[in-house]
Amino acid sequence: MNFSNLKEWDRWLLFGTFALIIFGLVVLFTAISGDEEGIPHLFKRQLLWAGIGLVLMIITAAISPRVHFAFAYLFYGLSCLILLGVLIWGDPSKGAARWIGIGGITFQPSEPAKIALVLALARLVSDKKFDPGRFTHLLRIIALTFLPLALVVAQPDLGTSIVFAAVFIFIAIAAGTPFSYLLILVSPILAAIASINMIAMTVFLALFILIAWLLKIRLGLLTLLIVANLGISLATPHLWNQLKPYQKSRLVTFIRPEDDPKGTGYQVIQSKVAVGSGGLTGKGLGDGSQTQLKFLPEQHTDFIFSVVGEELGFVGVTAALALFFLVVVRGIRAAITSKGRYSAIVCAGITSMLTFHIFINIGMTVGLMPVTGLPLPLLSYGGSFLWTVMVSIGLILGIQRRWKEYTP
Amino acid sequence: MVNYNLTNRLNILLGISVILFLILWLRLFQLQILESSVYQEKSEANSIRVVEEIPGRGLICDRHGRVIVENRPSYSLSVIPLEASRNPNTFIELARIVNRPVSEIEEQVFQHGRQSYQPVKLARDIDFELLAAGKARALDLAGVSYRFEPKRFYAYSVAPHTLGYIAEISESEKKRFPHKKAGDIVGKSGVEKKYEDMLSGQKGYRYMIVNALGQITGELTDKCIPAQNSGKMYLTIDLDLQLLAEELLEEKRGAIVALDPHNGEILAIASSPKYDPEIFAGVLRSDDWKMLQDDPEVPLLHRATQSGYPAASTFKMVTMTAAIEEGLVDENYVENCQGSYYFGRTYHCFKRDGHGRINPVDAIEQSCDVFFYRLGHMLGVKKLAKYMRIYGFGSKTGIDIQNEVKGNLPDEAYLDKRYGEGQWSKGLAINFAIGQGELLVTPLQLARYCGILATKGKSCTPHVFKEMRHPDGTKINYTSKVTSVDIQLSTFDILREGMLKVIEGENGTAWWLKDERWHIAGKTGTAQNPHGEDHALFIGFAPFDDPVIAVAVVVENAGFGSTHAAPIAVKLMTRYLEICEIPELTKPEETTLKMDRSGDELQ
Repeated sequence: MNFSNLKEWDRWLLFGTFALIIFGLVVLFTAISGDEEGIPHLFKRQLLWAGIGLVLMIITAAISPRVHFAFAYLFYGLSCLILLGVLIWGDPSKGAARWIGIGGITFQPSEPAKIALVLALARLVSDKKFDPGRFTHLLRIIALTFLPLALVVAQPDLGTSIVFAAVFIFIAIAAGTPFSYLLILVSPILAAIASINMIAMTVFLALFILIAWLLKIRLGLLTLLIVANLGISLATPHLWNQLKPYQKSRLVTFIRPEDDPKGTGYQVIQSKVAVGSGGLTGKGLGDGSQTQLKFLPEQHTDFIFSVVGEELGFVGVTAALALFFLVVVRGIRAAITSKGRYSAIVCAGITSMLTFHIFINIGMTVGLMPVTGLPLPLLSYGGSFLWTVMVSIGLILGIQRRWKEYTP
Repeated sequence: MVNYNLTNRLNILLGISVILFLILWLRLFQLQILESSVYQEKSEANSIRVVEEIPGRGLICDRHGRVIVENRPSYSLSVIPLEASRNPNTFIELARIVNRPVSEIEEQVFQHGRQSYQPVKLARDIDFELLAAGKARALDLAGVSYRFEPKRFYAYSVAPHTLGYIAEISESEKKRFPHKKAGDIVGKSGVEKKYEDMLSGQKGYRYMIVNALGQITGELTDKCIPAQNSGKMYLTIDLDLQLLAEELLEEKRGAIVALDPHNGEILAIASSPKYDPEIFAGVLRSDDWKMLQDDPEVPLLHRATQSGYPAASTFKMVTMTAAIEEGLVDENYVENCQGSYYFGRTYHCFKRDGHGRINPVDAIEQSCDVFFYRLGHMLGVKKLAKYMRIYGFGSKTGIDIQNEVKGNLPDEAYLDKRYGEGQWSKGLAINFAIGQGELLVTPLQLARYCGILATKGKSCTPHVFKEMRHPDGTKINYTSKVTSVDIQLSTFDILREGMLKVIEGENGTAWWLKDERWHIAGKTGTAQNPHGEDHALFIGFAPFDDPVIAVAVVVENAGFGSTHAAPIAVKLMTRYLEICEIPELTKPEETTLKMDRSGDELQ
């Protein structure tokens, strides 16, 4: 291990990460400056977490991919056990058993589980005997994803379960899964969404058959798939009734936010107003009326990006997006340059996971995505996720700086 | 084993990322560049609350500046629907404070939708305990605000019909006052309505910065437009005279109008029964309103301007004017009254054994019906109607109190319409000549007519508004509208002499009201009423030589005009002459005079 040779570290990735953390701290400071008591407290905590996160990132970067390759399944098993433990012993007082307390601070175990899932999936698909062309091998990835996914759905944590599903799809793509399989995997989700009305259903089926024909799926399989998708569509309304009221309202509100301006829709409307009113250059740091007068909900956590939009305008959000994009590009680049398949897929999986968070969170603040409660990497207030992201980046850094080595 | 290129797959992932970032960036471009102005407006609507400052409503006072109507602080409770809807506790707390069911409050607050930022007024004139309770629970009462509102306070409970009242603006009134909006207070009747623009003052606006909880966090002081209070409105009414007029009508039904015959200024205008203006001062309770509306005595009716009565014998000067002006009679004309007049049927004089030989002046003094029957017969309906018009009957006086009626003028057109063309008897004019029949006049018309007689031909538009004094020192005055009627002075001399003799002549119908201090002229009237007791009427002016006051009194179902209306009129006139310090005629020992006067009183 060679810490001192800074030339081997990806300075662009480090720059992007530090810039976003500082950006986040500045925006957090203005977002909470309206709270008289809150400034020192929340800001100091986030500063502390960022500091600890930095240490965690460097330590992670120091660890050789051989090590986490070896322990990948162990991490995975431990994560699943903790998730199970949260379900059994967790405090459901907040309506969702997501948190565990360790010596006075609370922690969300579903966050490190995201990393554990990436590592386990990467190890599985990078095995020499793994054949992406075989459907049974694909089922192994599905099984590996399904266990933690089911555990977070049971919490219930819709947002994180979607992240797990996304990580699975992205890693399946990286693992070389044929596109026809991917279509088969994705189609049930689309079928469920299309069940909203008959027109959507018809369009979906037509497109499905067209793409299936282009991908040359066998007729027997195609028939089976169509029947299965139809079944899912018909079952969706029933499953819908099984959802928690707040989950239902979030989905309904996503489609028509104006229907519920005082509930979840209120958040989206106010967020769009905040972002839109920012204009080109923004209202200035600390001068955003939506932010400072608390029209913006959860402005230091899930809706921190709306603060950026309002106070720094299009210039500010473009800068933030550019920094995020820099991190993503460096992550994929690390995957491409690494010599080992496992390393490459870890980088790709983590980068995709971050991209997915960014897209869902920012998409939510601008009314493109439903309110799922997924935080924005490096910017949102909160320790668990910040550490998860920094450890993730540490993994990329660790792999990247050994690009000359033959790693798994 | 499927072979694939890992780098290709990684590039696909990069491609997906690029697409996702591009989607976000384009969406942000749309919101922040293309649609930014829309969201900027919404953002301002969110955080900037325009708070109206209600100006102090103008005071109303009498001609000498004594305040009759003033303001008292009052608060209304309003709710901003969108803010209240965010906190469900608000409605529970409101229900407790206003003492109304939650569902009812919700329905009222959300009448224009849940998203509205427009405050909905929930309660007016809330008492101070309520205000204190509300402010103590401010945290649970999201979007609730208290607004200062003018509430009228009546220093004297006088002239409710004329002063009018104020209340919340109605849908139909919004067209008349385009700068007012729902919840604003406007004059609903009387002076309050007629002079709304002067009395309401100019609204002010303050721009408050509020947070998401509806709490005010600051103010944009540079945009503030201060409210401009209204000033002091002087009416022509003399408070003392008005109080006396209302006192004299107590327990009676009827009306009094006293005016300055030279310029039409109303000195007193009373209608009885009256109502307590305080009922309308705050929030009108529906049972109060129902009680007022259902009262068989019709207290809401302004009898001075809205009730038509037969003029009865007070009309006789019109007939006399017509006869002299048309050249039928002169001052030397003599009629022999035998107690009745025959044309188709017998018309009786009120004095059954007749007045004997009688000239025009005495005919007025003694109110000889036969004399006027003949005149009416000679004149006919058409000529009588002409002089009714000259004296202003059958049309509105144009007073600045709304909804006055024009009475009824039975000219040929009217009779043709009523009885069929030419189907009515010429004998109708005989009846009209003594003020009976279809002729209906308002007490206000009578007073103006009396004013024309008093001033020998000055016809004024009566009015109650005298002057508006704004706080900045500017004044608005009423410009009196005075015209001269086309009647010879010599005619007026005959009429006036007759009217003077009504009180001062030996045989005058109100001889016992003679006042030693001033010459007072008048004319009694007793209107036959098929529905009950006769209506008592009297018109009069004083002092005779240079009148400062003309009065009309109508007392419904009271009996003779000389005994039930004339004393009221004389008391009012003498009080006003005292107020104006009109020099008295002679200076006899005052004590004996007063004893004589009290002995004269028949009531």
